[in-house]
Amino acid sequence: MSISVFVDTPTNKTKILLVDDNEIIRIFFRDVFWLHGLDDNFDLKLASGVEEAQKIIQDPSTRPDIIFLDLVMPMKKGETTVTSSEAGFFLLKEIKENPAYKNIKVIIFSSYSDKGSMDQAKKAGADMFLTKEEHLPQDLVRVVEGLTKKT
Amino acid sequence: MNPIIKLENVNFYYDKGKPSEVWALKNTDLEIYKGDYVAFFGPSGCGKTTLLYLISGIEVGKLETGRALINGRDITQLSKKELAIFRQIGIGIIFQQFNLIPSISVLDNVSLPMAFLGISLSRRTEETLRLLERLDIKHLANRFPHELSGGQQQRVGIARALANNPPIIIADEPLGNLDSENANKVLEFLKELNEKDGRTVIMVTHEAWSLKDVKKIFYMKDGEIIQTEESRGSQAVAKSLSSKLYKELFPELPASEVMAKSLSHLFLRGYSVDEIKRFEFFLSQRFSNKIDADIFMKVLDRPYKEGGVGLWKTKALKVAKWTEELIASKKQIEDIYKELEARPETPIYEEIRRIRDWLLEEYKGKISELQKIRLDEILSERIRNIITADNFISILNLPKNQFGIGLSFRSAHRISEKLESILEKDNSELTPKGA
Repeated sequence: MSISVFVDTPTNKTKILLVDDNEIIRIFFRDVFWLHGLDDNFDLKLASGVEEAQKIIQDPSTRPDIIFLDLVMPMKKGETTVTSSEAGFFLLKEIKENPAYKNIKVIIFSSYSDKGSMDQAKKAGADMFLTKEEHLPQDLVRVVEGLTKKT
Repeated sequence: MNPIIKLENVNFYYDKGKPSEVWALKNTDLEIYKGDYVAFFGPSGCGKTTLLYLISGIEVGKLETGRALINGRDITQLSKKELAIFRQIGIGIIFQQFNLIPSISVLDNVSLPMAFLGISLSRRTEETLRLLERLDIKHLANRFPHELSGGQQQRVGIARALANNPPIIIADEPLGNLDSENANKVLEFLKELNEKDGRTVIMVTHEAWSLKDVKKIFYMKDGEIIQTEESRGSQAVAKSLSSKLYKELFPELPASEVMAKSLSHLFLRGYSVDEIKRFEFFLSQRFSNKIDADIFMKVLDRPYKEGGVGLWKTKALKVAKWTEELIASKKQIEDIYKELEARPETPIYEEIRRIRDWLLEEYKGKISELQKIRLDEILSERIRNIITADNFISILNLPKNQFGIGLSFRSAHRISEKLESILEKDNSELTPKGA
């Protein structure tokens, strides 16, 4: 798969959005960017749920180039809130089916590693599928740095 | 380029507002750049460990003033959760005491920091074996810490520090328990981590010898960075340092203070360190005539909890009387020692031997009887302030055929530093029991 990088943003940095309801994962992600100096080339934003992510994506000034997307998250369904992988797949489809978002690359970053989830994500247009528990900080750094080298 | 670590106007106290208050870091400013290899160097109690704690995110919330920036972010403002993750992935600490968990294998010890991040068993094991191989101890993966030598344990400690690939490596007195061969290996590896891996390495040490590869030295004393020096990349740095700054870091004390110190240890054998320190304080006050004989006697007699020294009446009387005799006759420390030698209750040679054995506790090499006798002589000379700390080191280091003790440069320094620490003011940690 090819991932292009956009350098025409006002900051000249690649915009990355992490969508995850787990605060520890958000801190971990932010710390990897901070401590390994990825902040110099990337502009990382964090969203704790689907709705927060939608707002960031809808606004052209904050629209990310790359999204790291968790699958299992809480999402409102009518009156109740349901926590399942439906949330992640919902957002993935919404992005991939909207022509305005065609340049956004979506990387699934999930605790799931079963073939069913991977196939479902691929079918819905995910650009990459990473399993959380297989990614040490150094692995994440390698992945993210790889995203720039493919310009 | 922005510094990877930057301290701004840091002031740090222990026990602020209590009688035991210590001003551990005073108006400290400091910059360390990515790829630096630096050392905090100074005697025990100089604040170097506090500085290390701060950079590691430990006790960082208790700053009196100032900021501690890592890559531009102030870690004094982080929440507990954020600090916990920062410590897991930002900093790798190599400890003097290795700090391995005895009940689990080498493999599990090294992979534990990864387990805290929720990494899978297979990925953890893969990464751990890679690290163990790099440190040449892969064959020990299934052993337990107690089955390993000190040098092997320290390499396990290094592998563990590297587990989550932290950009900053802190080595806290990393050579403390190692023989010179293993100590050299550790230094080689720290150098490699810095040069090959491009990691920022910070070493905390009180041993001049271990500074040979560092690029920058922060000299610390009494909570302050008193000097910063860029190394010229040669071994000469360590040697020039010792002659130049040794005196400043371990200053020669006025004769009356040396006397107060030596006498305190002799008079109060069997008393606690705190009691000895308090006695020493009042004794030097009396020697310098800041308090009179009556007050001195009362202080000796008063219970410890009420701020006195807490001697029994008879002992207080005896010590006070003797002190007054010393002052009246204006005796020099040399005379006092002669007199002490003659008194059955203060067998001076026994004291010297005890101090000598204490100094040699961690010395791994062999010492002949002849060397011991010579060591006792110079020890006695040093305690009586006849020779300086520099003289003491030189004789320790001088070959036997030149009438020296024939110890290595490093051992000589280590032993001297240990001795000077009890002749120094803040001697709480290192005073031999009952000496």
